[in-house]
Amino acid sequence: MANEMYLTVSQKPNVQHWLVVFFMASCFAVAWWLTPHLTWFEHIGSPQFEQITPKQFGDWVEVTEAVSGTIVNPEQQEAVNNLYTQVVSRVYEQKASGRRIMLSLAYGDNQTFSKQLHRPEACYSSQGFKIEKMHEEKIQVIGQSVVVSRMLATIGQRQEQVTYWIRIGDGIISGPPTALNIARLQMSLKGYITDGLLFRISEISENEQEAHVLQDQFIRDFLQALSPAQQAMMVGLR
Amino acid sequence: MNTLTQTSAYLATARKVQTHFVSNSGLWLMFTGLLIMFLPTLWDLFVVNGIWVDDEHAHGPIILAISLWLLWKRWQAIPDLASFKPSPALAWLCFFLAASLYILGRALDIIYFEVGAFVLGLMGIVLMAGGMALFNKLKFPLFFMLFMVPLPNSLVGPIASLMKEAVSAVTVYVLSWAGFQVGRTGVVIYLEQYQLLVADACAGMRTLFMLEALGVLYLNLVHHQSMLRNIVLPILIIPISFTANVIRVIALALITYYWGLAAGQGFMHGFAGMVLFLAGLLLMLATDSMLRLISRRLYGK
Repeated sequence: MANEMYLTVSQKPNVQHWLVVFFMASCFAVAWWLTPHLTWFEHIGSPQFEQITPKQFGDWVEVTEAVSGTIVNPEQQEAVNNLYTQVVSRVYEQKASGRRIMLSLAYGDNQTFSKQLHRPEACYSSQGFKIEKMHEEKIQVIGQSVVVSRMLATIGQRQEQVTYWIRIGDGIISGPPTALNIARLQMSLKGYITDGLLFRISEISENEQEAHVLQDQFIRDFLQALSPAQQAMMVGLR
Repeated sequence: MNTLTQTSAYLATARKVQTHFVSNSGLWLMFTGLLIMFLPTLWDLFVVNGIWVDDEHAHGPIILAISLWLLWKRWQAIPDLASFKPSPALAWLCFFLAASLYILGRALDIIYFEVGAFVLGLMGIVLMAGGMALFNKLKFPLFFMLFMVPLPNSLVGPIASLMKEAVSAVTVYVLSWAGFQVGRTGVVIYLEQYQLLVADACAGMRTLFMLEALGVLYLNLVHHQSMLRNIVLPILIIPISFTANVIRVIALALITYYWGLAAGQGFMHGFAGMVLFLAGLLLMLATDSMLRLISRRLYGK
């Protein structure tokens, strides 16, 4: 008898239920139509940063001998492998002065959720560095102004003057960390899965002013050595 | 005779299953719709982004499985849908909310919107099938599903770095109290000649979520009547998971100190992760027993 009761239970599909299915299927279709399928990585010509980064330009030349003690890569290797699709780490020397600048390019061709670039201030501090004098500055390079972030990272006696920028899709982002997500959304609205590049240079120096002048010079020389298409890969199109 | 009864028994079971599908076909129809919507999301989670295979969010599929199992269990206790009155208005509210989150999430690749939309969609289906009465019977599994939503880094990140600082500070305090030569700058701990970095994973955000989920599940399964235990235990899980983390970092520091760097980074690192989890669970159960005692003293039962 109990079974009989169970069997007579019924909720047959009614108009509402069909409407729900229709509604859900249309959500699926609309979302499919709105989801970006093109990648900015291919749009700007599938950059290979190891190749386009010149080993010698202006007054600068790459230092290839082991420079242990001077270069410490603050990004943990594990995180680096997971987050970025391309990483370039070089040390350059200015021939005239003998001063050295460390260059680090970290590139991810898809800036979704868990694969987003890590900001240097977060990387350095998670490695035990103390971050001070964090600020933004506008510098003039290759006929446009670029917003760079600067900071001083200290650990023990080591003082590292860091300058960096982050390009997301077609431009460099500035302001609070949420700027990255806003830029990503804007790229999505334009129909692209966005990429992201962290361009970071640093010098071990106690003289902030001098270090910044040298770094700006480095950036200018570096970008000047690139073709317009390659410049766009570094600083965007704007 | 024997075969005849057997055959009829089989037939009865088959008929029962068939009728179940037919009698709840409205429900199954809506489930099919939800599945169409969220297959791409599942594909992203497991294959494209691999968030649910990542270490940090690997608890997602476990939570989903537990929730579905709970839903099924609770469903068994519900005899017939016909006695429930659907609430289409509330259901459509859920569906529209789910739709906007889903479309935004898909188009802009915001995974927590998508997963949140799935939970809302399921809520909508329940409301459409049996209204608030059915929803009340199934609310725990539905609520439990929220634990599988991957939280954004912008939210977890700051909390995690605070936890890291605090874990390092407490570790150094305990170790120096125990007589070790220990110091720290930020999240780097100096123990005699060793230099240990308290990494992101050591903040133990994942352990916190897992413990919190398990705690809530435990409370629900044992059916506590006492409000004290139901409210205080989930809150206490936060310091419990913190303590478990400190225990883990201390264990790793001591392993490194006595057996060298290789031991601290190799097998023992994974082992310490398990120790952390066990420590957390034991602490949780101990706290609950204590709360039970207190609540007995207070209310006599």
